[in-house]
Amino acid sequence: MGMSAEVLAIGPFHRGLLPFLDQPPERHATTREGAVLVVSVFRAPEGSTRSRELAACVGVEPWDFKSHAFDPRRADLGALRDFHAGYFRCEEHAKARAEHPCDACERACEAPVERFVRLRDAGFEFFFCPNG
Amino acid sequence: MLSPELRDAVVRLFDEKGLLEAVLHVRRGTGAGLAEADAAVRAVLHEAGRLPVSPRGETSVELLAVGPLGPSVVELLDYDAERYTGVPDGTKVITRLFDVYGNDEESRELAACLGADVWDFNTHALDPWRADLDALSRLAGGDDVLVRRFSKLRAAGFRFFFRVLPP
Ligand SMILES: [Zn+2]
Repeated sequence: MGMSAEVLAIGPFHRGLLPFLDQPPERHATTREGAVLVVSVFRAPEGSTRSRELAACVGVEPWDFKSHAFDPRRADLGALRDFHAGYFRCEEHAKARAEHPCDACERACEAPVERFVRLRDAGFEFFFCPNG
Repeated sequence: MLSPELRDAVVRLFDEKGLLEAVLHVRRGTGAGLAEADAAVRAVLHEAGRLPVSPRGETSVELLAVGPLGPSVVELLDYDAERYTGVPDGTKVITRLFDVYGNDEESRELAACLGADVWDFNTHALDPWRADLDALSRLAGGDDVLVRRFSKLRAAGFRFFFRVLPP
């Protein structure tokens, strides 16, 4: 059981963020503009190597606690795209356990980076959270 | 799977100090993450007849706190104080105080203790002074560690957040 890691963001809700939050849009029918939420941005649940890679993408040291509240403008978006490339499958392919990704699979892999950028631009604060 | 020694320690710690201490002990002993350690402890306690009710529902929630590192809080965070050596006072740190995994009723109870509502996101940035500390202690199985951490972090100016984990 090695380290796992998660990047969390905390900041103010607005309607434009609905596709990028942890819960489906219908859960936010009554959420007011400006309500402060926690959002899971990236996860590396499967161990130390992926966790270290994720840390490097966002410019932090996995066990240096002074680096964990990080400046999102310093993240390497290209590295984050590479980190997720080929990692997710679209709904259809996930069910079929298909080997070969389609366009929808590729969009699924780009979604986390888009979420990061949107939350960053909305003024969220970011944290790298090691677990292990 | 936990070793027989660790299993005995889990049951003993649960009886003497509560669930949180047992989970922390497993984390220290195995390097397991919180979710893993929590599941392992619950399995042991369930087998030992200490937790007769198995987790119910799909809602998982968490209580987080964010604030400045300082001498009064360094022992209240997720890891041993020595791991924060060299981290300057005032550094913004995040800590997980309590989790509920796959249990709708307990999720609701945790929210209620904190003056929040699980599915009302307007209530998730908490006013920690509205928390019911007695209820929080009961929810943690009479565990004082949680309430102690909560009140000291609150006094140190931490901000508190309730969070529903992604499905
Ligand atoms: Zn596909």
